[in-house]
Amino acid sequence: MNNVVFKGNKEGIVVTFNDEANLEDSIKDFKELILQQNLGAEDKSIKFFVKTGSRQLSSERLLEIKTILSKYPQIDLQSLESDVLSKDDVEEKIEESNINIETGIIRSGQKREYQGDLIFLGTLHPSAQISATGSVYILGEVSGIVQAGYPDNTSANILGNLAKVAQVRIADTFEIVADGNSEKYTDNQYAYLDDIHSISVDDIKNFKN
Amino acid sequence: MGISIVVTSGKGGVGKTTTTANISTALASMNQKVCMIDLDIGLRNLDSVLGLTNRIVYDVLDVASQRVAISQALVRDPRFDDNLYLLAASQFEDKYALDKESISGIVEYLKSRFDFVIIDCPAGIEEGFQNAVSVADGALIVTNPEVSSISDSDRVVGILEELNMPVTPHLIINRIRKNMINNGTSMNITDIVDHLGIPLIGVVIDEDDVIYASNSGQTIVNDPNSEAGRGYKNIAKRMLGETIPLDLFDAEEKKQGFIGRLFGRS
Repeated sequence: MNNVVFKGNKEGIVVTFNDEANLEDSIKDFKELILQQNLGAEDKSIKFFVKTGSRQLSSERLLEIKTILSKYPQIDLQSLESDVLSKDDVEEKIEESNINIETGIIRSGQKREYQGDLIFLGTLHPSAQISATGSVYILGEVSGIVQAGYPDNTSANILGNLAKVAQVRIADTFEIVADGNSEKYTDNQYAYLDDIHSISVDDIKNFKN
Repeated sequence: MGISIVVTSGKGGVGKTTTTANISTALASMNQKVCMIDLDIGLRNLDSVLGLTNRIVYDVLDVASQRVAISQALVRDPRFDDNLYLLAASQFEDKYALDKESISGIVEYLKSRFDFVIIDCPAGIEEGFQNAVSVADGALIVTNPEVSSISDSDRVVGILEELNMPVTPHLIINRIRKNMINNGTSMNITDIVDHLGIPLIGVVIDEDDVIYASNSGQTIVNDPNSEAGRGYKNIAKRMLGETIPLDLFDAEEKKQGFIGRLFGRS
């Protein structure tokens, strides 16, 4: 079995690194194979899709591959991916899609943080805050600060009865609900960050996950 | 073995000291052995409202730093035989000199000799408060029907919930203004209890006589004409396990409408 395989298709060239081969040798073969493509004289760009299989390359190795390719301006690197993720990455992803359920009373002065989404069935008192890295689904009584997408997840949403919330926060933005916004914020809505990075609301029946 | 109860609120001026003094004297009148501890170091008040200031020789810091034994520092209230004692706060030393361990030792000793150890807590949520609540088996949260007091009490309940005390905190709604209840402008008692989410142990009407009494070093619980006194007395009775319905603190028929308004029923 070869260390590296180049295979052409109608999109470009798929480069597959054999994940059981010696990496040094594979990279040497990789350089060789590129030379053999005889790209020198051509103007038109050629797309490369690089796969590393069941092996995750270190950032140094990835840089090495990118550096090799950068010597050939015609090569347009579309993707450089592996089939596997590190354990830390997996744990992070699991945490992000975790759904928390809160039924308690969050009292004045308390701030509760949640990894992932939050279904809030409890009571949020004024000057209390709930902060989720994902979206927040409000089913309880809320009069404090609700934050979704903490700290920088701009695709997070807040759904439910937004009328009595003190402040709506998504990622790094916030809006004070009372400030002349009483028509904007009502029941059965969802709040999201629009294209100009400000908080917009829409009827909940238009919500698509 | 006795029980230690801290009287706290967060907000200042809502009636912690008055409540401590009144329920302690009520309990003492009901043959309970009660020791009060004033932990408002620096601004001690419990002795003044009881008229015991002149009897203070040693205070809680003298005991904590082991200059004297507890028994030497306890001030006996001569009006209640042997049932009511006070361990006064100090006025002169830095409050940070008192730590959780020393207070804990004092409270444990007192619990072995008294039925109730009632601790008057300073306002706020800083070190004085933290020391006072850390040594108590239970808490009485005193609140006024007023937005900042309720917000502070909410904060305090949140803090106490984390401490997992053996006895769950109970609520006293103090200084209820009768005229505001009568004209419908007072906050609704049921709403307050629902919002704070802890059991209510009593309500006390605001009365000028309470201040008048404490100005002369007296409590109001033994004045049969005082509604506030009755309120405090009923709290003491409930602490002893008696079931006293809240709407019977004023039994007269003609005041039913008032009771209804008090609890938000029209």
